[in-house]
Amino acid sequence: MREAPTRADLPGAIGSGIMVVIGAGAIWAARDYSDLGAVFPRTVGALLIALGIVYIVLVGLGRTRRAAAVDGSSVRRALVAIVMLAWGFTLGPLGFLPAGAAAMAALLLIANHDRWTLRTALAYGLSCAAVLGLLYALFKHALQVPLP
Amino acid sequence: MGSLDYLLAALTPWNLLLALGGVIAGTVIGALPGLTATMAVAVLVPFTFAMEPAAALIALGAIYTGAIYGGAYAAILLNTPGTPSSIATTFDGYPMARKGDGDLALTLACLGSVFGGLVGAAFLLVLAPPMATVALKFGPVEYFWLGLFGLTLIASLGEGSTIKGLIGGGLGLLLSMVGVAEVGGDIRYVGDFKPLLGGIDVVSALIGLYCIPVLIDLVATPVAHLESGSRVASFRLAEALRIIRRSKFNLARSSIIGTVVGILPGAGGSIASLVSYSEAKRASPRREQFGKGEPDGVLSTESANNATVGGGFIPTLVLGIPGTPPDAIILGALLVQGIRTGPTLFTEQAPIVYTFIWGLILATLIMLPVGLLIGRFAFRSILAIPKAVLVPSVALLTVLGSYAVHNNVHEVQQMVVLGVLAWGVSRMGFSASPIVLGLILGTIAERGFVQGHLIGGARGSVLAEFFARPISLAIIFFIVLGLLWPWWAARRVRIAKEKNA
Repeated sequence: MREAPTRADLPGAIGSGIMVVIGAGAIWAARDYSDLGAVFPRTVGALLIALGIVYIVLVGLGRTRRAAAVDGSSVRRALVAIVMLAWGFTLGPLGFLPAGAAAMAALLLIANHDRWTLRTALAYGLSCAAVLGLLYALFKHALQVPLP
Repeated sequence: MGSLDYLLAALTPWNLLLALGGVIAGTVIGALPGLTATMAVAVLVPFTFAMEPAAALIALGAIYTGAIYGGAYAAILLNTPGTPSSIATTFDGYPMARKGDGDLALTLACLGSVFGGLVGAAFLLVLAPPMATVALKFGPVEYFWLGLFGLTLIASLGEGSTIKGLIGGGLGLLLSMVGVAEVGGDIRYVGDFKPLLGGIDVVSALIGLYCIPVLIDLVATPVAHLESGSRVASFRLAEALRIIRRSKFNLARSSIIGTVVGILPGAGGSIASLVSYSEAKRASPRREQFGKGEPDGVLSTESANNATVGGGFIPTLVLGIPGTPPDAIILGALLVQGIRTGPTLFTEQAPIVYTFIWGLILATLIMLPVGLLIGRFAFRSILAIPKAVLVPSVALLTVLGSYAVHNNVHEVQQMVVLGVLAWGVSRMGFSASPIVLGLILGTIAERGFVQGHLIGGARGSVLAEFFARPISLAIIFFIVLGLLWPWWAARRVRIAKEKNA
């Protein structure tokens, strides 16, 4: 009996294609570097191109396996990514406490799958505020980290 | 004075109190993602300036050993290495926790850390001078080959496709080149974004690559973040001891690897744990289970990274060359104390050195009850926290941890950008571990290559510089072995299957 064909790893092929482009970009950028400074970038760039092409060929030949699909909400995933990026880039301008409070509140809203009640809102909100306050005090005053 | 006298000198109530306090403080700091063992030692070192030299060394050694072990908590419970030394602990520790075996993983981590710490300290006690001499023979070329050897581990770290693992390693190598080149001074892959001139910070990158994808995926479903096993209230000590009895060779091998890697200046716990993990996987009859929650994986990495503590002290004390970054800070503290390290230290200031070594052994033993108690508390706490509160709290730790390394908001930005990218490439089947390995080893390999090339050029033969040194040849042998091993292992499995068919 023949084995059932596995699904082609299309995401892997797309990722490999991106790596081929990154490898080509690395080699192109290395043209301005000194001879010794360009050895590693060129070698690694060539490696990325070669391996990326090999993987795409393997996908074309049907000799790869696609990873199991992940379940759950893609919208929530995207929102967490956006909040974390926003947190990172507003930390300096807004300051540690305002940026932290806003980002933690947003993450709390995104991560909660249960129905909101006054009690859970208070309990979760106060818990996050306590964590923020405690870690702020620990880093700022006990460890003398100059937080923005 | 004999060895027993030094032991008795270390056994004073004050020294024991310092060892206990140091282990607790180190464990707590090490457990916070982003706060490395280096930072734990650096933050607490001023408290030791007023102490007697031996007592100060005992306190610093206890903080260091506690911080290396503490990194395992976040690695196992949150999939975020508390310290870079616990990178490889995430590979099997977190899957164990997801399956409800987090308490067992923490107990194994504690027992492995204690065993590894004792082996490292024993080597320090017995073999310090001869081993330090060998470490001194490592030149740039040997570091280049060592870096390449580490990169061959990608083949065994790849979850699924080896080619994808190698592509991830290549991406990590490219990331390691961002910024001003150490030799030559080329500004590479910075563009107009000046904050990248200093390169990508490894600790921030580690936090982003390992933690952000987990946070992103945690919110997607209402499923609990960790399964609570039926025996959650216990240490599962008997079960852990049974596993250790079964895996005694793995434990011994990993501890020796950790000690030897610790002796190499600049290598440290992260490389030790990755090398020992790879070796444990190669030698294990259950190698298919590695990466899916195999207890041997946790044992190997935790014993190796704690063994680097004793190993790292060998070149620090004998040669004055710090074996690991925390050793560099301890070396500075010794200079403040008026102690000059060097080959004569073990003869001229033997009481201080040997009292310290026995103190380190005592601190490692104290870590057993302390670690088990803190581990149990940590696991139960993480289980009890609702996911909606855990996600913002862990996110805050990632931001704080990446900021606190150099007090730099750009490193927070690096952390989140790399984390989101890591999540993106993970959807395409590229895992974070090979990227991390490339990022860590890229700098070591390139620096060694460029320096070796320059030295070889000056001596008249670059090829002889790279291929005619005995230690280099030994490492090249292991590189070839590492590259051929997955192919040979796969062939062996195929032949076995054909025989059974």
